[in-house]
Amino acid sequence: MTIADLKVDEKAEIVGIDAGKEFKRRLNSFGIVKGTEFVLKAKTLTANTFEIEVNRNMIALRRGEAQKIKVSPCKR
Amino acid sequence: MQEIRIALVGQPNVGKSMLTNSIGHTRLKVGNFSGVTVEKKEIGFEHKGYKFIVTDLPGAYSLNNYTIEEKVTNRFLNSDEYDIILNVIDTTNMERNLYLTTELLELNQKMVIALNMIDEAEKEGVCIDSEQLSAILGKPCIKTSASQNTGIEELLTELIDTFERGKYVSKLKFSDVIEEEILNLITLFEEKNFKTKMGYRELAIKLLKEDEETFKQVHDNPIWVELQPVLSEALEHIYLHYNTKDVDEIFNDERVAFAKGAVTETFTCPLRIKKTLTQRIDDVMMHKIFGLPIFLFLMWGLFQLTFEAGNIPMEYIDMFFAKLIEGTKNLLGNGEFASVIADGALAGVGAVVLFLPNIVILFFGIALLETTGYMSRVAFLLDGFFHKFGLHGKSFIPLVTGFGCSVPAYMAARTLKNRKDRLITLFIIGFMSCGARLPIYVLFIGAFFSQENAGNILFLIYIAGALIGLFAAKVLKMTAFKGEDEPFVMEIPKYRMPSLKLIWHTVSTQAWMYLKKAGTFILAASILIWFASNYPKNEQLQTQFEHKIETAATPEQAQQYRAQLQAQNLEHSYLGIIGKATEPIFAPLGFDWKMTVALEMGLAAKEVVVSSLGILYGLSDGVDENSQSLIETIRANIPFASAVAFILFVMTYLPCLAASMVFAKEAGGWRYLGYLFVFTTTTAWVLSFVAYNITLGLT
Repeated sequence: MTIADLKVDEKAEIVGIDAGKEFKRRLNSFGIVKGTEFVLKAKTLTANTFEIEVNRNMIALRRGEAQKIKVSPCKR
Repeated sequence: MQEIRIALVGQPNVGKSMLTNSIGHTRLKVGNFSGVTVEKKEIGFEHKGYKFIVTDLPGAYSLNNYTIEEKVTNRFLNSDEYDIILNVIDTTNMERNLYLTTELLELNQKMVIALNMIDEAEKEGVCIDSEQLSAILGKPCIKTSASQNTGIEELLTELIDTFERGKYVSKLKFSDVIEEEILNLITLFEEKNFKTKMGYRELAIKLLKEDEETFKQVHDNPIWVELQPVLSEALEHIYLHYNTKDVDEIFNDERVAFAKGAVTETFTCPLRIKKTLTQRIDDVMMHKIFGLPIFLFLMWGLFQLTFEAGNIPMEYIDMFFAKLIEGTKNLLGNGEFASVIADGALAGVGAVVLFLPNIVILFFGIALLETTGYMSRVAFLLDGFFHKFGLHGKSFIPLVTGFGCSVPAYMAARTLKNRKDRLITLFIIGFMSCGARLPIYVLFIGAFFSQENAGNILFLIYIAGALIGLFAAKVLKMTAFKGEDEPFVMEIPKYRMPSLKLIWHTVSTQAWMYLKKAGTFILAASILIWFASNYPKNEQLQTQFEHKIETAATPEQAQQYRAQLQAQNLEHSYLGIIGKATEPIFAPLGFDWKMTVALEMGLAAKEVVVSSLGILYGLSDGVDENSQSLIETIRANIPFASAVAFILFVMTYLPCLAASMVFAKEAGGWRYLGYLFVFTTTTAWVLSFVAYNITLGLT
């Protein structure tokens, strides 16, 4: 399951980043790190862009990038 | 006096610039980092008998060399001379900010950390143990608020103390596995009493990181014989534990873990139940259905304002220059000199200054979108759309800046890391009509459309330009720039009240740049046009017509002869010769030689198009050069279809000389300017040709 499969306002934990070293580091520098919980805050009408809240940061991701971030939803 | 050189480092949006502002300074030097066009700001001041020199490094999320800013910062930190790193942190965003801090810790330099925006953090109920954090990082942490001007004094004192004190050992602690291996190596060094300039711990870390330089150093030392087996075993352990042999990766994970650990130990924040103001605003602004219409409405409103409110001061400026020209002529008589000053220089510059109100309003609006943080929302909303055209959500920012002026827009394209994304964006920025083209549109809209429709037509022109640009981007992406996309990861910052000072700075710089262009480039170009349109003198023609005028039966007839003379004179001038020579190229678009000349002059600066038309048509009909009569003249002389084609050509052809220079620099070579010239001119010609014939068919 990836970020792209989540519903808006759903909370999840990052379980893995399936991407090259460079891009993974880029994500890390934005606080997108394995083991971190986040909330999917918004997606555009066409679900092409996603906004997540990680550690009180708002980060926008494109669908292709969102699909590289493996998540596991947190139970309510 | 002793000098303290400080490298100011921080992630974007942490209030670095504001901090330098509140420190206060006596000396400001703005330049570029060598080799790249990233702004380098250096401030100098004195405090307690020390001379401070602070270099404000560009905002970097990390030292990964991912963006140009990160590269510049990384290079400066590794190879330039400085005494202390001042790391500015947004306290409301600790974890992300500390990632950069851990990278800085590894540089093993003296460092002070400013926990900035502490007021905002406290307002949010955040509690931070700065002493504990100092202990964990091994670097002093000072709470500051640049906006409230608190903690600045303490920060400066701490910088002096740190400067005077010996170097702290960096306390970057790793996970137990790595720490154990570090300890093994240190033990060996101690046993052998190994001599090194670095500390043992630093040396051990560098060896585990497989740092080439360090390896070279130890390799030639007798200790290598005993070190080698210990080191391979250590690495073997670590590989096994992390299930990878990529040391870079392992240490990156370590950094992340360290930052996380430091935050857990020192930072508490209350669970947020109520939505923050930013979230409540974004519920509307980033709404999946209403978000886009709101954005389009804002843009439409901005263009309406540009047009409607801008009209009021324009009338006064117009009147002022008309009087000035008249006064100059009265003062200097009717000779050649009076003509060059009044009809050449003043008329040309007047036509440029006239549009200053429009430009100021438009730039103000764009600056407002940028400083509030709305611009990144727009990138979020539009990326899906832009991506379809082979662009990036971030392309939006340079593209929109292009509506103001292409020069800063080309520079703004640097935010795009992928070279192809950047080049495509650079190539289509010219299609976003810049502020300097606005005068041309205003003139033609005024001449051919009703006052009520003016705002709508202008909006249409801008939108059409943008759409042409998008289409061109798609074509480029499918042909010249095939390949991988740049990943899209972007911070969406909190909304901030716009700082009037910052907006004023942006707007006034842009306005000043525009006026400076008017004072130099356009003044020179105007005089050149005046000269080229008045020379060579045809004495024979002159005498012939003067005789006709003298013997004319009625004053009306004399007036007619006079106008004919002027038209004849112009036709035989240098300008006329050039225009006529190139006229066949533009004839299929319905342009006469005057329009052709105006367009060609526009290659120097778009503002010149209006002033050229003013001189060309104004003189030929013997009217004074104020704008209203220019509008009437244009209406009388240019067929509607030609006007439409002309507007389209102006929308799409090469930007001004200054912008072209910047383009060549940003794109990375003059040959790109050659491509751009061919690309835009062809597009412009084809579009104008189609538009001309369609309009002819319809009317």
